[in-house]
Amino acid sequence: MAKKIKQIAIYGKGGIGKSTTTSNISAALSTLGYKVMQFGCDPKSDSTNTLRGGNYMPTVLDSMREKSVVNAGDVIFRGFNGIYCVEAGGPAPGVGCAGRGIISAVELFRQQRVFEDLDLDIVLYDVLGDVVCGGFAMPIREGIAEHVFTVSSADFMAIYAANNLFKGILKYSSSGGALLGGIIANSINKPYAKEIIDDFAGRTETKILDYVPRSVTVTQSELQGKTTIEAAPASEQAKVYIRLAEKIAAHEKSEVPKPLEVGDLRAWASGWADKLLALQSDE
Amino acid sequence: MKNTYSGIREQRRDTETYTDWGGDSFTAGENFPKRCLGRAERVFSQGLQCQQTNSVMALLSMEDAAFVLHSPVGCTGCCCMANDWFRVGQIHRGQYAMKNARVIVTNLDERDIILGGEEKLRKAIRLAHERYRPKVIFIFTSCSSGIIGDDVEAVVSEVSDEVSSVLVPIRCEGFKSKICASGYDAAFLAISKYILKDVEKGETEEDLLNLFAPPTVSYIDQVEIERILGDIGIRVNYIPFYSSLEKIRKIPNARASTAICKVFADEYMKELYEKYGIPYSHTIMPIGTRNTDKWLLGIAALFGKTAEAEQYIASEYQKVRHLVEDLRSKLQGKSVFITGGTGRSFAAAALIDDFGMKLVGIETPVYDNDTQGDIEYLNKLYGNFVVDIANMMPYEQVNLLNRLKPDVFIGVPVWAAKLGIPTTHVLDIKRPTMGYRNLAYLGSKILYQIENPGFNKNIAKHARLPYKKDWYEQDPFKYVKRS
Repeated sequence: MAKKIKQIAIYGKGGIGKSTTTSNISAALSTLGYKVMQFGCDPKSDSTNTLRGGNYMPTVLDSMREKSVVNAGDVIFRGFNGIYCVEAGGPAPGVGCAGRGIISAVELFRQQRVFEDLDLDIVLYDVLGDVVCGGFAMPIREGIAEHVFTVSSADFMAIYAANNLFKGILKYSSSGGALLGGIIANSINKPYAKEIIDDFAGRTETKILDYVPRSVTVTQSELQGKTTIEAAPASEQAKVYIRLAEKIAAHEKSEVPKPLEVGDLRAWASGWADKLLALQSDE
Repeated sequence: MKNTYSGIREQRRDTETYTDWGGDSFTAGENFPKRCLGRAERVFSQGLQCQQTNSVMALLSMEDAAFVLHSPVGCTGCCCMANDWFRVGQIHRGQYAMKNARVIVTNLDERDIILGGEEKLRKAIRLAHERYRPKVIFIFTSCSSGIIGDDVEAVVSEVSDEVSSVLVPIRCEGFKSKICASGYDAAFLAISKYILKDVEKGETEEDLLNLFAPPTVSYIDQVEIERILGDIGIRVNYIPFYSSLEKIRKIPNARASTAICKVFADEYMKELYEKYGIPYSHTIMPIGTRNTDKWLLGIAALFGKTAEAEQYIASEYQKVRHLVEDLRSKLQGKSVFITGGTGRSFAAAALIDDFGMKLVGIETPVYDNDTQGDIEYLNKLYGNFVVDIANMMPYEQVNLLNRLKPDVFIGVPVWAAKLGIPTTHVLDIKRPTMGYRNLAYLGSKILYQIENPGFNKNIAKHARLPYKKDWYEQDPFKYVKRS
């Protein structure tokens, strides 16, 4: 029997550290011995940069622009530790339809049975997290990713985006779509940040997979065009990513989240705003 | 229209517009003016019409034009019907070297949807110009080019420096409105913005009437209409069906405007009044004696020819009187269910009174201020009857027909025929329907169907409609839900 390829989608609001986290998870998984592909689903096409020495590479849609038939093999590039890197890419800013681009790119790989042929263990989709249209929900629809993780800080805008993602998951959950593995809480350094994200997880009946502290090591590594796993494998931060990767590799059961209604979310956020104000005045 | 009307019929400011409702004509007539007809929506819908189809239909017969559809290739399907009318219309007009409309499609594919289709549009416009050297190129948007936001206007403004044709982009994305006549409005908005933008009003031609004709008017009807108007000394600028850029440019010089169909150019005529001071007559379609009278008197008033028209009407009526009376003697008392576009269905509803027939039900795609006037008139003629505000909902139609069991059905006959009901229609694009002389043809057609119902009866014996028996016992408006 063919082995089951674990397909995971990682969503998060732009700028929240989603690509950094995904790339470090990919790198960590590969050092743990897994055959990994990272599939960037962001029109900016910079998801896999730090796996490839900071270099950009041709995207699926670049290739589609040039020729009518795209061979998936032509747009797969090897990165750190042999990780397979793919960028879906997108149209020039302000034209066309980026969402449709994601659908096309993901469909192309599925049709050409690339994951099976490469004998992959894990595929990670790194997706722009606001799920603004159907295209960006493609990886969580039936038959693509099985588990979704969301990268979120305790920043309210990031939590709004996570809540939107939960709505998307809930929508597709009854038709065989992906379920939620949990929240990867990023840039959590202050105690109140942990409290906020824990509270949100509690209310939406979701789990926090792990807490990733903000660290200067990450920035230093990225400036070299590398992941922390590659640039500072012995660092504390690398250990966090390894631990996260182990959890993801072992993760089996995802669940349907319970997103908050817009009004409830606002009420919840304003409750926290009051608490934070009180905290500030105490300091 | 220029600053206030978006081209989406539901958004008109001077009228409420309903597209989903079912009930009786007394309730409708009473509640609509009080603004309490009740907003509703169909939770089950079997079909609507695309606005691109209507925009294309309105213009496809313009002889010195080429057409670019900025769409996937499938959307060109909407040209087939209009092209067929165009071809038949040429033969009727004695143009035996028949030609097809000159259509180019940008053929948007997966790649274009993702990366944007503007380059293909540029190419298509250049190609249309190079190949056909038309005086005007109409460019139609589509759902897909609308969703991805291709900047058609920017492409047009860029390419217009290179080509000699006037470029006219038309925003007719099919999803914008549930009312297909919005597609006509989109065409007129574009004509106004791109063809007449710098056309100043010349000297008014005192006997000239802008006659806006939809493509569904047969040539023999055009001849009849032009004859009637000619007889009282009114010349016609027949537009845009079978017209030309030159005729369009002449619009501002006419003394008055009218349309053959009530939902064609009605908004545009308001703009012509605002912009050029051209008055217009907006009455009813000239189908049947009463309607033709009303229609003609509306126009005559604008030319100061009311007395002349009245006299003319009387003499025309004398000529057809024996025909009408003969038909009336055979059709008296027969019950009728009518469906069609807003213009034709209400015209037909008034027409059958010429023959002494009785209206029992009507299906209209839209209910607005105009419809209210028609309903009030028909309520006086026929008393209470069923009103279904729907654009061809066959499931409601068959349910209603099964209940009302009319003697004849006027409209798209596909489903009624399968119930064994005699059928005919008034949207007979290639045959006579309008004015005085053509009235007899229409009446005879109705009579023929009633006297010869065998064909439909046989169809009913052998064909089955797809609905379960219990559907016919349920409320026909079950799926119209109040919102």
